[in-house]
Amino acid sequence: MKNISISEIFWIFSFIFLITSLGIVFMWAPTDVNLGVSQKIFYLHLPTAILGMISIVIVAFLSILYLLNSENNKWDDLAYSFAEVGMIFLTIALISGSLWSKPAWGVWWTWEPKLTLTLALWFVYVAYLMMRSYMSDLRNEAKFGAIVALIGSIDAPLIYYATELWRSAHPGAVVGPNAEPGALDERMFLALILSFIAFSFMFIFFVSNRYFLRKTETRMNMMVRKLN
Amino acid sequence: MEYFAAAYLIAGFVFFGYSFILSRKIKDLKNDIQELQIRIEENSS
Amino acid sequence: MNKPESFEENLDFREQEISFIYTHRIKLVVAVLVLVLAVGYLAFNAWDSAKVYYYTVAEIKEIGPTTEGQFVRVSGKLIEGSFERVQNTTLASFILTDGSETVQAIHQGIIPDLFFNEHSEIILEGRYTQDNIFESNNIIVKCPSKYIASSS
Repeated sequence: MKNISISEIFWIFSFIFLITSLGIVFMWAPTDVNLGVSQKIFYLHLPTAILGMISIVIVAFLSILYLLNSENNKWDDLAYSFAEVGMIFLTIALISGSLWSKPAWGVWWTWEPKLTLTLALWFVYVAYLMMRSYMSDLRNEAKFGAIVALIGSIDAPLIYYATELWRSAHPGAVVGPNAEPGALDERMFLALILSFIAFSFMFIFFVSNRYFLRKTETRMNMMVRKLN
Repeated sequence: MEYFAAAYLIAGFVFFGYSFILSRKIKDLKNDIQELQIRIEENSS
Repeated sequence: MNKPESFEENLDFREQEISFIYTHRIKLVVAVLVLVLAVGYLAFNAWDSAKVYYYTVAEIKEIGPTTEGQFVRVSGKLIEGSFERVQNTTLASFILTDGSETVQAIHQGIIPDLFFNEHSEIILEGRYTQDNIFESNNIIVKCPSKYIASSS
């Protein structure tokens, strides 16, 4: 039997869960009484947004590990991979959010707290990745990146609690510690959990692939620099 | 155009595009490593 | 065998790339810094209006008319039956309430579908005039905070 790599396993899992959750979302989960079919964007919007928010916290955590032991590039390479994939997921959350807010709220974009803070987080990712691609010394690059990630990670809980802390156009939280009980229909909740699992597997699949690439790139760059 | 269809389509394109870029970069890197190995073998012989 | 040559080219390219970044490092860092500052300034400005995203009807009445060029948002529920449209125009007039106070509002343009939903809260963007009428430029419908299955 051919050897199956870890990343292939994640790919297979995310594929199976994605197909199942799409089926559940569009064939089984009920349609919302007020928003109609546009509420289906929810099953794409919420998982990608949560993964994009969690990702910056993981980047900050890994950056601390790297700062404590900067001999080991492993943590930094992992942090970079999480940042890149996190930005992809947050981008999808912003696009899907805009495509949902047009039919639901009547506007493509409005400067309300949750949206403003999410856009700020997106710029944190951009700053992190740009900074890293423009600096030439790996150690400096990693340290500046760590500062950006640590500041940026404050934004994640602010986004989650935004509807509580300020007046907002977003509805209150429907999952997690700040959720109002009964805010979500039971079948919708099951569909949400399934799609969240599917996107999580996809997230890990992308991170593991990016990490393999980044690790090898770092080693190659070091070798090239030694040769010169 | 239904908004939900557009959202799922765009998300699909972004994921597909990103995995395409990743796989191409990994392939290029593997080629580089292979060529490096050939060079090292030639130098050592 | 031409493989080693192509790798050598790659190696040269990497070297050039690295030296480019070395010589232009200060410029690049300045460019990034300027970008970050610009975005920070924009975000700060946006945040100023975002943190008090809207006023309640009672608050806007207390604040009174807006000055020239100033835009505010007010939130409330539509009073059933108060909606009227001036014939053959897109001008509409309606009354919003926060439970106790009410405000007369007019809007020129398209009205979103969910505007008439009895569970929706409405946020208007515009000016509060001297005549105590809210002239809306933009309507944002705040969705009900629960998702409920339709019975069909």
